[in-house]
Amino acid sequence: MLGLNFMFLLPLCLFFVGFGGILFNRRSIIAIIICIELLLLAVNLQLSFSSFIFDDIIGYIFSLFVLSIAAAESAIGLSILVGYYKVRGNISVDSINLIKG
Amino acid sequence: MKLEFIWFFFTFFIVLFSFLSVTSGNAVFSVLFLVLSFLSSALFLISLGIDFIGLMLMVVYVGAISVLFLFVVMMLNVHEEFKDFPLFTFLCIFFLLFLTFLNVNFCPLGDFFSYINWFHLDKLDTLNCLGYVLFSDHINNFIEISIVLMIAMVGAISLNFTSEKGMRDQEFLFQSSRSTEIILFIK
Repeated sequence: MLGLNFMFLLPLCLFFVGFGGILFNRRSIIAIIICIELLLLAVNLQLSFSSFIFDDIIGYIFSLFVLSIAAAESAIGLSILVGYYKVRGNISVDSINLIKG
Repeated sequence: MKLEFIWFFFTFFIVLFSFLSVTSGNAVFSVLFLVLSFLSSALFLISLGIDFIGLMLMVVYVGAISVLFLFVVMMLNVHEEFKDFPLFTFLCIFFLLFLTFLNVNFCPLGDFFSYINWFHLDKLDTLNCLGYVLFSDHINNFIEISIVLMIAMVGAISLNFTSEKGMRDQEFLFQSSRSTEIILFIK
């Protein structure tokens, strides 16, 4: 049907879904972190598919690095979120207005 | 019945679950659909023959990151006021951006079955190849990544570490030691 184009289209699609989720997010901070994870999953899939197509090992290795960085970043982000919740009491996006910017 | 149909189904499930994760009204549903999209992308990679990366996706993403998300969703009071998600705007922008990339032939190399690696050795599977390159050419990156993970572990604990003041602790060395006045006859 699509030939091999889906290997470039699927991660792109996933990237834009995550990007739109960050852009149009009015729910909570944890929804933003979930969309960041979707972006990183799209990058991982793109690297793996490109490495599969061009038969090179370097895409898989860089995908492993991106995976580790995603794990570290989500750990730190969620622990910051828990500390923020202890201070503020809620994690809604609309109440981040202390600087009144 | 070609092989490519199962790739089409995996593609459909990944996009569907990620879209549902973004537009659902509850935090628990978001995490659930995130887990399902991780799982289907890992299955997709395994079906392509990239067994190690698919299993690593399952172990790290589903086993660690999704568990972190579930713990945070359980701990915090995630009260989501689901205002009107601008679905029409989202779909229009998404469709426009998607269409710009749809008509481009990304892979001018030819068909899938014409690109066969004739030097495929039987002993080398994915894990062997990865280890062969990762620990020799990219050892610096590997050590840097491990340092980043160690910093993340230490940071995640130290960000929420509060020393408990006012906690009634025992100082048993002080409690069970004898006073020196009695022993040494000092007043």
